[in-house]
Amino acid sequence: MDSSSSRESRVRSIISDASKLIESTLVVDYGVPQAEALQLEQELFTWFDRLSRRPGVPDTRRGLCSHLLSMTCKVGHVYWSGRPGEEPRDERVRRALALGPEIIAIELERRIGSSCNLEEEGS
Amino acid sequence: MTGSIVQFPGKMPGLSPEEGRAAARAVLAVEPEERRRRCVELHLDDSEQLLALCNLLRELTETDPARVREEAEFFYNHLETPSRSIGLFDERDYYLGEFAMIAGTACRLLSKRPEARRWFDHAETSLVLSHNSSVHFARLAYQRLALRLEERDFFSILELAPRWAEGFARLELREDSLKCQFLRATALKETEQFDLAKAEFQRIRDESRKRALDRLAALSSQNLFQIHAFLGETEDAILQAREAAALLGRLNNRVNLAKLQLGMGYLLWNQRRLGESIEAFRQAQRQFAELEMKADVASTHLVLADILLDANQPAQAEWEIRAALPVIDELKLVPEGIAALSLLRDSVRRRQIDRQALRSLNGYFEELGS
Repeated sequence: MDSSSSRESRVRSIISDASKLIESTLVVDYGVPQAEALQLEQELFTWFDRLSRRPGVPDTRRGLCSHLLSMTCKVGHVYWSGRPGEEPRDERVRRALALGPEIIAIELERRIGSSCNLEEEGS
Repeated sequence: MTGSIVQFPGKMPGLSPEEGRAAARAVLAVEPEERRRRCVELHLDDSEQLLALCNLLRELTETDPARVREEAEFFYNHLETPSRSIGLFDERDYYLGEFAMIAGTACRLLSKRPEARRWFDHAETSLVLSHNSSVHFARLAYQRLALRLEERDFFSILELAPRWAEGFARLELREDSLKCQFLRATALKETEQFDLAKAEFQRIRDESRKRALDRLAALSSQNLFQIHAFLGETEDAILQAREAAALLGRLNNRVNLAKLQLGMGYLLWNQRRLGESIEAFRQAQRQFAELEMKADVASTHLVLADILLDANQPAQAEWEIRAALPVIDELKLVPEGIAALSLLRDSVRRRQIDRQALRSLNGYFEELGS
């Protein structure tokens, strides 16, 4: 397997493992409406596939995945930054916005680490 | 974290990765003016194509730096003005930064140093807004360090390169870490710590082979060739040169093939094979001229002048120096060698070449040949 196809299969596998978590993060932690969350999720996957082809991106599964989770949280955070005057009522959303995307991304990495087997695949 | 860093997307991208790569190759065959007219038809705003263009231009930097500089500038300007909505989230900022970094790298190879610095500054202003910015800052730091090496600021290289090597290793970027170790090894070679430099280049070459980093393996062999040649270890030198030439040829790395040819000239000169040496230098010079590497053409003129003096051909030597001086002035190449340059210019005017000034000036240029 050449490096390009191994990268592609790693990206596909991360997307498959992280999909549910990303959707629930956007909907539950950031209060994004379901339909918008699904669209944002697709855009995150498209962006992530291209990100993996930039220089300076680690080729390990864990390293790559942390970029996807980090951008998911930034996107959730910016969803509210783009709505001045609107305040989320949900306590979980208020907590996520108060802690900031970096902290929430760390929490997600812990969650996905235990539930989605993020250990390196024999590497 | 603010909304200014991650822009919300307004549209989904169009081309697939394969289509993006094909479109990138096709768009480079179209004249810039025509590209502007056919902007939509050529998908100039498509994120897949822009990503493929960045990767393609980066690969071509050591094959055709002058062309890469022009192309990177074109795409940078296209994205910059008017401000366009490009791709998803941070992608516009990333592409702007990446094209600027590519343009700066090409300028560095062409010895257009102030221009290279300007491009690196531009790259910084965009990459700061992109995802993973710390890594891109580190990549920019590497380029700035390489620029310092070309300016012969070896003290800074010996001090900073190991720190950046460690930084890249902690960012899990092994190739970039090795590249910083390579800069340090080059500084060791230039400060004539040959044993240390040799050991370092051997280690980097072996590590690069293990990781299938052909370019870095080839450049390490090229430097080992120069060290062996300098130490009069001819057989070892030729072995390394063959290995480097095979790899560089496969990569179509014309910049370093020309530099390897220059090294052959030095090897032959050390063996006092003056005629063959002159021919080797002239061939290298032709290669540099094809690549529009004016500074390297000029420095080769000075080396040729030195050999021609050895060959008792002072009139020819004077011609070589006269050919080099305007380029040195134009590119402001040796600010630290201004005294030697002035002495040399005076001596040419008097038609009595100052050999010491010529050699001093050659010393300032040596890095260009390595």
